Amino acid sequence: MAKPKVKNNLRRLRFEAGEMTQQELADRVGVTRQTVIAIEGEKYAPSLELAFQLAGAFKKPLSEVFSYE
Amino acid sequence: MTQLDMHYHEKSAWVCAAMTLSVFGPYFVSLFWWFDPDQVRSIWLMPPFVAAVGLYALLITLTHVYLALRAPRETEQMDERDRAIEAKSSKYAYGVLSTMIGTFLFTPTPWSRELNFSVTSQILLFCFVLSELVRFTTVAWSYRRGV
Repeated sequence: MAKPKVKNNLRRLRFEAGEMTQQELADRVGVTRQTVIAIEGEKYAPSLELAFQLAGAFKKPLSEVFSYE
Repeated sequence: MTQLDMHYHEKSAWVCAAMTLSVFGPYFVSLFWWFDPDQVRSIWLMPPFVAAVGLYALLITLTHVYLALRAPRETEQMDERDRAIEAKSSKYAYGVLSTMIGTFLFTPTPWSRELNFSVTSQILLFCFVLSELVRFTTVAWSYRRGV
């Protein structure tokens, strides 16, 4: 069975939100910039709480920010 | 992001792994390879042990002060990813430590025939240092490759 992957649209959403930087997004949700980089690179799957915070930062529903395959 | 864009905690792990290998690698190689069990029992182990630990503490302190001065804000930050990596590395390190100690207790070694406090303490120290090396390399690997 393949390892499940959580995909995200953070990079696109940052661009659409006035070219928000990774540091700005990290500061908004209370994580490090390197964690944002890891999430965007799908090297780290955020917790449910952090996922909701990230979605809230863009004022988007969770399903529009993250997807599960 | 460049490949060398590291957070303080990742840099710390790399530094600790390198220092552990650099200091305790030669220490244990010289202890277990060059000395036979009779000599390990008879030599006075405290000076080299104190020197190794003192050197390790000094190098670790200096490098971490340097890293902290370069990015003081990062030393206080520890988010969920950092905590997840720390938990994973602790789990692996403890597994290695418990396995090695259990193996040592039940496996004959060249020094088993006449174990004394000095030899036993050095073997246990080796087990601890190796488990810490596993911890540091697991942290560094997890930051680079993902949790």
